[in-house]
Parts: sequence; C-alpha cells; structure tokens
Amino acid sequence: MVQSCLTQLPLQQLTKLLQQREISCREILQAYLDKIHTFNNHLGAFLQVADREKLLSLADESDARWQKKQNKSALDGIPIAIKDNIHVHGLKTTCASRLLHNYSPPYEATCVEKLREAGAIFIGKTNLDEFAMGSTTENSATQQTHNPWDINKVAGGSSGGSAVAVSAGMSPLALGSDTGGSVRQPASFCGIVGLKPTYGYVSRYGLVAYASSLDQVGPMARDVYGATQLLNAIGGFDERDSTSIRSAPVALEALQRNIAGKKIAILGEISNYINPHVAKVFEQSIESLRSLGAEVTEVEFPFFDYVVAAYYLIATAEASSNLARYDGVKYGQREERKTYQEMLTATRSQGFGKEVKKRILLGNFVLSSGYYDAYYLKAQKMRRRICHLLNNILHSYDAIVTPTTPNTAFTKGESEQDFMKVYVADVTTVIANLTGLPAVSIPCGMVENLPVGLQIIGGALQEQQILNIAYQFEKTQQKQFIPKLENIDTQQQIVHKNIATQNKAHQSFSEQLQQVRASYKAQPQHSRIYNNDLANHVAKEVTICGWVHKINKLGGVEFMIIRDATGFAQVVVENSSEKYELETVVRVTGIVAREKRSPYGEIEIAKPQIEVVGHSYAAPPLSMSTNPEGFNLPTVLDNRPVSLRNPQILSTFKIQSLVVRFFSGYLRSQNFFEIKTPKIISTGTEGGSNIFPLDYFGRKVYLAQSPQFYKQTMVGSGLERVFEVGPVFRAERHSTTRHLNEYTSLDFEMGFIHNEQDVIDMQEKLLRHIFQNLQQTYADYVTDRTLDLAIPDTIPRIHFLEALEIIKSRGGKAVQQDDDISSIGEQVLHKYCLEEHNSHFVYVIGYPQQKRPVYTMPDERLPGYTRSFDLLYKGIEITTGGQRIHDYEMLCENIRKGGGSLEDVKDYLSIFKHGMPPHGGLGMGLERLTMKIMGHDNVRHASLFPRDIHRVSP
Amino acid sequence: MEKQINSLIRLSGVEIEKEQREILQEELQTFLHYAQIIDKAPDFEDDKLSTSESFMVDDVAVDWQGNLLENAPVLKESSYLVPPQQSKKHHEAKLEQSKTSTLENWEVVIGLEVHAQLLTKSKLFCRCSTEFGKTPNANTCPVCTGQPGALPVLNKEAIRMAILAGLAMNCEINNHSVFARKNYFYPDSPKSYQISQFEKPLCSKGHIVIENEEAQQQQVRLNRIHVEEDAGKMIHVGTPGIWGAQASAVDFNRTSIPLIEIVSEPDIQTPYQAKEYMTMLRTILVSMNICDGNMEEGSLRCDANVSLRKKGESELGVKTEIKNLNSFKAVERALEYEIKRQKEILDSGNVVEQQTRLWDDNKQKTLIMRTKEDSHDYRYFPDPDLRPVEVPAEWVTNLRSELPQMPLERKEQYLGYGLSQKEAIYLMHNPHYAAYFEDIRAIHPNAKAISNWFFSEILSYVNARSSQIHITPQDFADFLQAIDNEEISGKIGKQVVKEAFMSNKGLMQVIEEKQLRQISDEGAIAKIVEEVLQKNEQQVAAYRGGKTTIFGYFVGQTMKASHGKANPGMVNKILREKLDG
Ligand SMILES: [Zn+2]
Repeated sequence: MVQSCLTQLPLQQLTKLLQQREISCREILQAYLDKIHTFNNHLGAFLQVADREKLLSLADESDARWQKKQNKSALDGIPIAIKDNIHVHGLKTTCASRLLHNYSPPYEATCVEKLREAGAIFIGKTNLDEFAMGSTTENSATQQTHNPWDINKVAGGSSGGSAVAVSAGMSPLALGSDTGGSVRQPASFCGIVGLKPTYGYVSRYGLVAYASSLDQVGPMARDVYGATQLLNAIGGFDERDSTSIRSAPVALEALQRNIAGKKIAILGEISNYINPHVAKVFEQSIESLRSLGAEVTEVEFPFFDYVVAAYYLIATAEASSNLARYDGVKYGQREERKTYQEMLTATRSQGFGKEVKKRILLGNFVLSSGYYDAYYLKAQKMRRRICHLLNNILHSYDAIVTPTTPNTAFTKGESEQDFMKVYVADVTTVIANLTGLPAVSIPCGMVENLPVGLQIIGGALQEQQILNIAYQFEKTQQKQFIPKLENIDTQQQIVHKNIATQNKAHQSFSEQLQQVRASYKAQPQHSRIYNNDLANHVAKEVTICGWVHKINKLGGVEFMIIRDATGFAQVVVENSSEKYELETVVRVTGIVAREKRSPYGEIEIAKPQIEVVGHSYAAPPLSMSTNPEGFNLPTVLDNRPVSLRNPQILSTFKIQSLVVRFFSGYLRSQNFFEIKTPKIISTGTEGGSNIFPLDYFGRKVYLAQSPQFYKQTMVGSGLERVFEVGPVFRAERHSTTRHLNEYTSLDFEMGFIHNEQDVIDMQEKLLRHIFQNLQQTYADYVTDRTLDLAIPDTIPRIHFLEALEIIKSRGGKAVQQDDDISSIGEQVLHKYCLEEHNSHFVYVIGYPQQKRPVYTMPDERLPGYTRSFDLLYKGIEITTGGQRIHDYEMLCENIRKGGGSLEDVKDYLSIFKHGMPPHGGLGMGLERLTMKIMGHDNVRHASLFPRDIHRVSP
Repeated sequence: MEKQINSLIRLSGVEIEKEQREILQEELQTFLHYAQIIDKAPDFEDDKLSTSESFMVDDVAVDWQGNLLENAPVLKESSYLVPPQQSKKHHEAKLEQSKTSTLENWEVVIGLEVHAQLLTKSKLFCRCSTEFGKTPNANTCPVCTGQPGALPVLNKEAIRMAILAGLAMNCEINNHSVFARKNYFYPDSPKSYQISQFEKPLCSKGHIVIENEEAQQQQVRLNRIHVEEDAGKMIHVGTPGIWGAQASAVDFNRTSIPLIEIVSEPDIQTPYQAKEYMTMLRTILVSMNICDGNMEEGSLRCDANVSLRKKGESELGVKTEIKNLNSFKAVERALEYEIKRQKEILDSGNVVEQQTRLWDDNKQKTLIMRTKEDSHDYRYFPDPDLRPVEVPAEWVTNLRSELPQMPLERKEQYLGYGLSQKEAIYLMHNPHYAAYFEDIRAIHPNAKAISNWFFSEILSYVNARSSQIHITPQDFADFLQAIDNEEISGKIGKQVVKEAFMSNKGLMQVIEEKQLRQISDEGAIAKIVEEVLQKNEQQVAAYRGGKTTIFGYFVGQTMKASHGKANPGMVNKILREKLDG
C-alpha cells in the first residue's frame, strides 16, 4: 500500500479501494472538498466549487450503486474538476473573462454529458487564461493561480487551474482543453499526466472555441491509468460535432504490455530549443525507455522554425472569428450605449482582457483582405507540410518523444516582459495541435524542485500506443510527483495547522483513513441554539450567537446581554480583561444556569468562552436598549439600517411578517393560488396622473399602481381564486402620516361570486384568521406592550350614503368634501362604529361611479352607484375592493362612456371577450394595517425603508 | 501602420490602450516575420489534406434527444434587444422624372443575385424547425443563437435541394465544396459571421432560358449557386426602418434557415428581362418544391447589380447594387429608376459612384445605403467547424433522374395541345395547376375541353375566393365525360360548377343531387312529347294547318314538362317526326 493520504492516491488505487468497499465515494468527495476548502484560497485553482450538499447526495447515490455492484463505470462517484471553458449543467461558464462572468450555458458539453452518464461528480470549475489564450493562467481576468511546487512560479496554462487541482489533491481528475499545449504544458509544470487526444477524438460541442481546428478537450490525472479512464469516458463520435471521429476506447489491459522493441523517434533539431537542465532530465528519460527495451533513434525534423509561425497565424485567425460572437446582443456583460456600434465596441473593449484583444486584432490582420494569401493561406500550406512530415516519421516509428516544454515553470510576470519566450516555449507542444496527432505529457524528473514532463506523440488514433509507453515509463519512476503544500504560505499559520493534520507522511494510510473518517462522523461540539430556547438546556453547555446588546458592570462582574433574533441572554463574565464594543457579534459557549435575579427568563450563562466573529468598530448612532419612542422619526429613518436593530423597532416587522404569513396561509386554505405579476407596465391600470413614468430603453413605461388587470386575467385563466403580495406604486404628492409612494399590497381576486358581499365575507373570515392567530402568537415577538387585536363577530356594513349622513349628523359639513369621505370623516365613522357596534372595523359599501375605476360593477339597484367597498380600520382606509364588470360588452360600453380608448386596453379586454366569470376582489395595504395593529401614529414606522415624496434612501 | 491598426480596431470591434498599440505593432512585426519564415521554406507540393468523408445529418427538426422541438424551445428570451444602428442620413437622389425613356447610345448590363429559402424541415446547421410565423425566438437553440461552444452540423436535405436547383439550372455540381465564414458585425447575425460558400461553391456555371420582350428565347448564364444560412430578423421599435429606430429587437427564428444564392452573369439587358428571369427562377424552384417562392414573406429575395456602358464597348461601367427588391414589380421598377438615374449622371458628364442602394417601395426610389469606402472586408476563410462537402457522383446521377419537366418545355407541351399562348404561360408558371391538368388529361384526354372549363370557369372561382381547387381530377374528368355524352348541357354545366363551389361539393355530386342529368332516352322523350301533343290538340291542328311558326311553342312545352332536362336536340328531332311525320 502506498504511504500517502487519500487525496494523494492515483485513480487506480482509489478505484481498487472503492471496489473493495474499503472507502466510500462520500469519503473521497469530502476529502477533496476539504482540500479545496483549505488550499484554494492559496492556490487559486477553482473559480467555482459546486454546492457541497448536492455533491454529497450524488456521492451517496454512487455509493448505493457500488454497494449493489451496479456502479455505472469505474468513474462512478469520482470527483472531476472541469476547466471553466467547458459547459457543465448548473454551473456558470465564465472562461475567466469579465465578459462572460455571469454566463449560465443553456446546454451541457457532450464530454461532460458522457461523464455524467458514467456517474462522475463535477466538483467545480477551474481557472484558465481568459478564453484559453495564454500559457501561464496569468491572463485570467478573475484570479491568479499558483504553482503548488513554488507559488512564485506560474501553473502553466491555459488549463492551469485543472493542473493545480490535480497536483495539489483538490480533485483526482480534471478536464482541460489543449489548443497549443494547454493541457500538456501545465501538466508538465505541475507534475501530473495530461493528454491531448487525436483531433476529433473528443467532441468539442460545449467547449468554448478558441481556435476550432486546433482545440481538443483532454484528460488530466495523477497517473496514466486515470488519464486513460477519463479519456475512455469522454471519447467517441458525436453527431453534434461534424469534426468528431469514430474511435475505439483504449483497452486497459493494453497498458500492461511490454514495450520492448517499440521504435521511438527523437527529433534531432529539438536540442536547440531546450534548456540544458531539462535536456539532462530528458536524456535520463530516454535511458529509462531504452532500459524497457525500446529502440530510440534520432530523426531529422528541420521544421521547428515554421511550427510556431504557422500555429500563431492560424490560431489567431480562427480566434478572431470565434470571439466575434461576443457582441453584447445575446449574452455576456453588455455595456449600454446609444448605438449598436458603440455598444459593441464598449462591450468588447471592456469585457475582454488585453491578451484576448491583442489576439483578435492579430487574427483579423491575418485574415484581412490583401494579407489573407500571404499569411493565412501560407500558414495552412505549411501546416499541411508539417503534417506530411510527421506522419512520414510515424509511419516508421511507434512514437516520437520530446520534453513537453523547453523549460520548467516560468517565474510569475515573466511572460509579460518577454512574450516571445513564452511563444517559442510552445514549439514542442504545438506540433501535435497543428497535425492533430495525440500526445501525452508525463512527469519524468525534477529541475530545482520543479517537475519536468516527457511528451510522447503518436500516430492519429494511436492513443493506446502512447498510453502504453507512458504507463510502462511511469512504472520506472522512483518518485511520486506530489508537491509539499506546507511550503505554500509560511505566513498563514492556519494553513500549517491544517496541513499538519491532513498530511502526516509518517502515518500509515489506514491510520489516516480512520482519522479522516472520524472527523466526518464527529459532530461539531455544540450546534448553536437560540436565546428563547435556553430554558430547555438548563445545566448544559450550549453555544449561542448574537450581538452584544448591553454590558452592565456590577462589582467585578460584567453582565453581557446577548441579543439574537429570538430575544436576549445574560452572560456572566468574571474577571474579564477583554473590552467589547456594543454590537460586536459573538459566539458564546457556556453553561446554562437558573438565576432568579436575571431579568432574562431567570436564566443566565456562566463560565462563558466568548469568540468574536464580527467586530464592531464604533458605537452605533442610536441606542439599541433605549425605548425608541424617545427618538424622533427622521433620525430613526435616516439611520434605518442600524435603527432596525433596536428590538422594539424590529418587533413591528416581526409582526408584519406574521400578518403576511397568516394572510397567505388562510387564502391557500381557501383554494387561492399565489401569483406574481409584473410591476413594469405599458399603461396605467387605474388611469389618472398618480402613476410613475419610467424610461425603459427609450420607451415610456410605468410602475404598476396595482396588480388589478393581472389578477383578473388569472381569475379568467382558470385559477379562479388568486392572491399576490407585492409592491404597488402611487405617484401621489401627499405628505401625510398615511401615505407612502411605494407600499405592499395584499391583493386577492375571486371568481364565481354573486356580488361584492361574497368578497366582503371572504375578507371578514380572513381578517378574523389573521387577528386571532396574532392574538395567540404576538407576545413571543412583542414584549414591551400589549396589542389591541379585537375583532367583532360581525363587522358593520353601511352604505356610502348612510355613511355621509352619519358624518354629517356628527361633524357637520366640514367633514364632507366632493361627495367623498375625507380622512376626518373616516375618523368620525370610526368613533361612531366603536360606540354603536363596538368595532374598530367598518365596511362602507356602494361608492359613487365617478369615484371608482371604469371596471367597477355598477349597482343595478341604485343608478350612479357601484358594488364597491372600502374597509376602514381604526379610522383609516386599509382596503379598497369590489365586484368587477365581467361582461365584455358592458365593460366596453363603460370604458367608452368614461372617455377611454378600447384600443389602449385591448389586451385587458381580451380576457372578457372569451368568457369571464362574475368576480371581485380587493387590495389591502400592509403597512397601514401593521401601523394600526402596532398602534403607530405614522405609516413610516411600519415600512422597512419608506419611500415617500422626500425619501428614497436608505 | 497607424492607419492599419485603426482599421483592425474597426474590424475587430475592440478599442485598446495606447501602450497596447505599441505592443500590437511589435507583434504585427512578429507576424510579418512569421510570414517571411514560412516564405523561406523550401518549395513543396500542395498535397491535399486527406479528404475526410463529409458529415451531414438528416432533415428532421428534432432536438438532439429526438424530441420534437415545437413545444420545447431551448432558449427562453422572447427577444434580444439591441440599441439602434448608427443613424445615417438618407441621401435621396434629387432627380426630376426623366422625360425621355430611351437609352439612346447607352447599353444596360444587369446581374442578379437571388436568395431562395429552401423548404427543409430543419435549419441548415441545427435541428430547429424552419416554420414561418412562430413567436419570436421560439425556433432557436444554442447553435443558431451562437452560444459559446455550440457547433454547426450540416443538414443533408439542404444540400440535396441545392443540387436539384443546380441541375435544373444546368450547373456543374462540384463534388468537393467548402463552407466559409463571412465575418461582419450585425445584431441579426448571432455568431457575427455567416456560414456561406466562397471559393468553392456547390454549383458552378449553368444557365436558364427566358423569353425576352420579343418573345424570343434568351439564355442567361449563371456564375454559381451556393448554399448559405439566412440571418435573423430585426424588429425596429419607434420609427420604421433600420435608421432612426429607438431600439431594435432581434428574432433569431429565421437565423440559419438554408438559402441558396443564385448568381447570374451580367447577361440581362433590360428590367423586363430581369423580371422574366426572376419569374422563371421562381417557377423552377417552386415546381421542384424546394422553395415556396413567396417574395412577400422573404422566401425569395433579390439584389441587382446594374451599370451602363457606351454601346459597343466591352468594358463594364461602374455598377451600383440595389437591395430590398421584394416583388417582381419592385425588380422591374427599381431597375428602371436606377437606369434612369445613372443615365442622367453619365449624360451630364459625371461618373457613377460605386454604391449599394436600397429600393424604397413607398417612395418608388432607390436610396443610398453605403458607398465603396464603407464596403465590408468580410475576411472569408474556410469554416474549421465543418468538413468539406463531398458529393458522390452517384448521388448527382440519382437526383438528375428525379428532375421534373422544366418550364419552357411545359409551355411547348401545352401549346402542342392547342392551348393559347396565355394559357400555356399560365400553366408554365403554375406547376401545381399543370400537374392537376395532367392528372385530368390522363383520364380524359381532350386537353382543349379541359382548358376551356379550367380557365373560364374553375379558375375564376378559385381566384375569386383565393381558395384551393376541391374538385378531384376524376370528378373533373367525369364531368367532362357527361358533357361529351350530352347528359348535361353546357349551360347546366356552368350552373353545376357554380353550385359545386358554393356548396363545396363535387361536380358529379351536384349533378346527382339536383338530378340535372339530361334525358336522352328517346323513348322517354317520345313519351313526354306524346303527352304534350295530346294536351295541345288545338295547337297541333293549327301547326298541321300550316302555322309552322309555333314549332318553338311545342319545344318549350316539352322542355317545361321535362323540367328542362330533356336533350333539346332530341326533343327537336322527335317533335319534327311526330308533327311532320
Ligand atoms: Zn437552432
């Protein structure tokens, strides 16, 4: 058994352990996820890591299959990292570009689909040079990736993230893409195995194109066996890629074959390009091959000068065209501008990094008229020639070997200074891309603590051949190429600590495995409990979390009051040396004790260990422990994000949340469906001037005043009963204690009613449900006052004309304006109902037609009046509702009479044209209702972030 | 160098900082160096890349999992909004209507580029449906919206149709053709390049024959027919038209629908010939069922190149290209307008500028769209995502045997039947009626009788109602037979046709239901005559007494007694026998 820990195992051994059920997929996955958790910050391999819970549940499914010996493949349950230019369902594909930073692909790459079918688990997306253009991963617009052997060196590229992920044990396998060496070169720099298959062996469908005739997806692994398994899983013909080819998988037993007698060529002229230290390691590798019985011969290949030239001319030309699609029209980060041309240029100029822009410009130069023949065509002819030559060599030889790269990993920033050095460094790898031939890089030695790779190139579709040689060569290597991660960052002790536990090389594997297992099974010492739950944990050690609300000093003892979402806890701190600023966020572990003197449930926490998890840098502008009634409202609202922390202020919103909960809950029980309707609309619902216009890409649109039309539409759609909790906008220039310009409307609409009385009946039952439930629960949330939540058995219903009489008789003319009920009138009515009916609520029914929108159902019994109503609660209107006209012709007639145009509302009218049940509904203002329930005198108290005529922030 | 970099920046749609410009210059030098390195390479044979078997898929309009795409569009965007195009002023040619329309000593040279949408089920490079009139972006997928990483796969059916078109137009079918990328930025082009054919088209050379103003046959040579993908459609918000719109939305339903572009040689000399050429092309394509020929919906579109030269000169003059010709009438009118415009420029001693112009059907004018300076550099190169199209000779041979009759042959055939010139031309351009005609003729060989009833009766009802013909060839033939048998008269026949169209019934069904068949049974008619004569003894006596002028009275009475169904000839004959005999 190899002496190394789980994340250092090559795939072949992982598979063996899985087969023998000595280890589970869950354990493997957790080990790798933990490694990512510990090291990704330092190495920058991953751009995204998939959701842990989802991954674990996939691993469990795999385990179930292994258990039944029904595993889908050898890769079932094996984590795989994917280069972030290959589409994976459910993950973004950013290509490490600003332009695509938010792009979610609408489909999955074929190679990923195949892996998914094989049961593999996609652990995350890895960093790369932007759009795979580069050979250091320094061109990533997102983050830097560091070589785990030496963080001052580059990881190589463009598949640097994938190489580091495998090398540092963050994923056993990874996919990269190789256009000019982008799999093999970082594999070489990081000391792992990387393969570029024959062009067409793996489908390119779903690989974001850099240079289409050179791109190829390739496997990366710690060992040849792993690379082979991965290759077999992703290879094969794909009818979605016309350039893919039919091929047979590599036979695993073929890897075991003896390579004695194999004829291997080395290219004579290559020594001119190779660093002498690397050359020395290369010579040793050739000796190893000879010792395996291979015949190694030098052949002529006087074409290296042309290889890089042809490669860059072709690659940039194709890239310029492939990247033209990022124009901001369909996807990607668009820079809005006035014209298409400007938008296009701004989007591309700001979205692409400089290397990408440079290659696009160079490519367009190669293709532009007058240069095409001299550059592109010539390069293509040269390419054909190189093909011809290499194929001739491979006619007589089984493989060609070269060092994978002329150098070991570059120092960071080197490429910036000397791009030619980096270009020329591609000379060994690009020959395989230009010719489409398969090539594998395998670690073969070290130079100054950096790995060196050996490249083996084979004939077209001769993957089995080169992997066989690589496998046999791998067996001759004394050393496993595993970087020592302790060296990564000496300044960060935490890293050391983690490494110490994770990477004890002297422990036997099984011991380590036990340890790893134990750490998964053990629960964290205490899961956090809420303050209102402390009474259930008396005499036990618990952990609570929250804000330092108040500190009282008494003798040598500090009483620290901790506030959380549910209430307070008193923590007794003896001999404290620490000073805590109010509002510091802490995690406290201590013993729950009964203490009669504690004002917080006669309970306190003793012997606390206090951990600061969020520092407070200054005392808050408002006191959290003062009764807010002393504050003036503008100050409270100006400091809203902080003043909300005052528990008394916050309690209003806890109650508000309950109101919404009970509202929705009751309606759901009455077969209502919840709907969500748009708030940007093209025409006003109610008409009139109190509607906010909005610039919408140059068109004038409006913010919705109510969901009226859509509610009705949904009744007509066959849902019959619908409700919505959503914002509505009123551009009224009121500055009163009752008006907001944005408020939350609790709306419902119901079909198949007889008249407005059915709607009122429904609301009465709804209100009773809300108020009765509040009565039972509010004390858990509001501790500083009692709430008047009385609701009468029947809410009085009085006709509008009757209401006017009452107001007149009680307050005279002053309270009546324009035949409407003024706010003073509403208060008069409240008083009347309280006295006569012992009710804070009153329905006023039958408003005059001219006061109501055109869709309101006229009252056939009383011409000029409608079947509509308002509900007043404690002297303020909280609901407007009514029966709506449901007959098409009647509605048209009413709109015409109202001076409206049928054309303007033709979408709305279409609901009625095709059969609409009699229906009605209402809207209830959440803030006003909350305000009255809480007994506030201003509706702003009941709005989290009020929007009124003066205030749009915070 | 500075100028070159500026032009590269425009082509690339990216702006770069100053220091990057310097780096770019350096790298351009490197590329120059690369080109020189390659130049210095020893000569070698241009050995072809191993020709790989071309890969195409069937025309099925399903997604890759095999589900019909109709209800499952992959992409949800209902529209892709883009800002408006750079506003440009219309330069309207200020021209008085020229009084003289003669060309004097000028000669006109016209070449047409016709785009025809092929009637495949799925698009050229993906499996989206090609159905017209779906909600915007319902027929789209990652491939035809140019999503990163998506790849085109060629639809074999499109190649089949294009080969058929090539064969019908006497082209050479190239067994090796190549798709190329035509690079340009435009919002309706999702990949920012169009996949088309450039150096190696599917069909080369060829010709079609038209009849010119003098009713003489004239050959128009074709340069090539190639296959390409259509672009999306822009929906302009605000003022109509590309320019001055406030914003535009893009509908990619049309994107990647297969087109063939048929490029003529400049063999056309008059607007009339241009119109005839278009008409003939349409007829050929429609009769092979490879294009629906609907110019209003844009299934068939035309750009025209026109130039003038002095009579007798062989060199071509400076040409203008006219776009947006979406009816036969527009082709003719736009060319007339443009010829007049160019002639006036040339007559006044000025030179015509090379331009692309747009035909405005409302104003009946061509308007300038871009000048030579703004012309595109399309940077064509072979599309590395697609393999060359290899067409086996055997396939071409098989397709050749499928070719239907060509229009002019069809016309000759109908003239041979004795149809009028007008009728023959009508059937030439309406292949589905020609097929109908042939179906009837197979049962009832009297072509003249068919054409009489078809053109004077049937077609007038069909046209008046713009409906389909619901009368089966068998029914039509039976009807003609009934007339031949004198079972119904011509007059009744017309009523039958009318009734058949009114009630959507068959002709014979109408005859049976209304019992319109004539009585031609001699015995039966004799019996009716007998009765009539018995009832009218006085008149019989008068007739026999010499008042022979009342013969018509007996005819009338007999017809009346037979409810109009008696064969009038026989009635006459029998009456004469009975009265005179
Ligand atoms: Zn599509």
